[in-house]
Amino acid sequence: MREIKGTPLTAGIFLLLTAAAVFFAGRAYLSMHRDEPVYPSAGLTEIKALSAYLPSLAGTHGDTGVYIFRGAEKGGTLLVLGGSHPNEPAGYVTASVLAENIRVLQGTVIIIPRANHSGFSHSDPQEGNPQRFVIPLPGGGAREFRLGSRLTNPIDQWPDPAVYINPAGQELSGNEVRNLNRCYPGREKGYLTERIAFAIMELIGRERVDIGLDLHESAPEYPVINAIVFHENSSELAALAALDLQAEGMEIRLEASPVNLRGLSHREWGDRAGIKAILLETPNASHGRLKGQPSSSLIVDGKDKFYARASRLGRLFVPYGEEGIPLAQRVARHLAAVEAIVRGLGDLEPAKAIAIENFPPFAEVLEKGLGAFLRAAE
Amino acid sequence: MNAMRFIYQLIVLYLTAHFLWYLVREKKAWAQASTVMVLALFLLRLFWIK
Repeated sequence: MREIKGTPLTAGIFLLLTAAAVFFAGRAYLSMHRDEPVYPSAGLTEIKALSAYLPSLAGTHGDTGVYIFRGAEKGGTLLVLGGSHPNEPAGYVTASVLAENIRVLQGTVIIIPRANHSGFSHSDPQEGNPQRFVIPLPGGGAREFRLGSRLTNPIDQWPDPAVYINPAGQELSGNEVRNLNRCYPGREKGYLTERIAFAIMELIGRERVDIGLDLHESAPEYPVINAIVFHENSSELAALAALDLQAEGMEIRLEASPVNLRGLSHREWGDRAGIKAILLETPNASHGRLKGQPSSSLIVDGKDKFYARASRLGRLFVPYGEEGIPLAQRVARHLAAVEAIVRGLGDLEPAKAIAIENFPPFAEVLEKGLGAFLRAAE
Repeated sequence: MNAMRFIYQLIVLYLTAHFLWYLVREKKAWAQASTVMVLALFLLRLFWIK
């Protein structure tokens, strides 16, 4: 390469270029800290901050909105968590769809759409993931959602230990210290992620939650998929919900929460708080190792030729055709499962029944698309 | 700001200053270009953006 002489002038030019690059890159990174709005339905009773349950979270990126819908009649209390893993969009989009549509007639529904709020402010390194994806609305316009990371932002919690011993005593690799779904039951004065977990446990206790649902997604090559993962205290309820869903033509697996796998919501909520604890999984190609180019359309449309091929070769735990598994279908599955579980709870324990109006129906979400159940920007 | 973060940012600041000093003294323009590519990452870290 031809040698060009370096001078203070060239240094200045390069510095200016660097300043511009840092400015634009920094602006893009910082834009991930802006929360996309949630427009709760008229049935909303109250919005609280998670820090109401653990004041030390106030002013941190771990604090997040808690949407409470109380019915006029007494009944059970349901907690729905989206965004425990902010790179699993069906979980937090389902939570947002619920918050924007439901009206509770009996009992209480508590929704946390961004459980690990900090995890939404960055994306997984070296994945090439888009920062956002867009869901078109039927009347024109669109709603934008961020695609975050599985883990808390290291800007908010750093450094990771070499080996992480979680509050339940399990030894894990160091970066799991930033994984909300490994940090239960949390620590009051621990790492930020542990404090988020602790605040959620406090919420469960103070709001007298009867059942907690944690909404997730997993890669199509991962065996725990299209599944209801249940604590043993919820086995009857999970089986009833699975039968209900299968009767409607939806294939869903039942997976018992492993007793020795500690720190997860479906284990510690049941063991420590004594509530019925269930985690739901849907298949997400953008989450997996076999995918092609990551993109916003891969998240929303779910089409990926490599997954379609892997499916033909019998390498996946879920059927994956050329038509893909779109986000609308994954959200519809979550919604149907939540509805079946709520119905099952009312059948098994009538005193804890929860009656919800305007619950987006599975078939309508598929037919009209997700945008029909998200409100236009106000 | 905790002590760990403070020390970390002091180290990043020290290295950033070295990069800047090297940049103005370097006699090869391509070496200067390589320097600023690394410098950009250090600046993002120094300002605690990424």
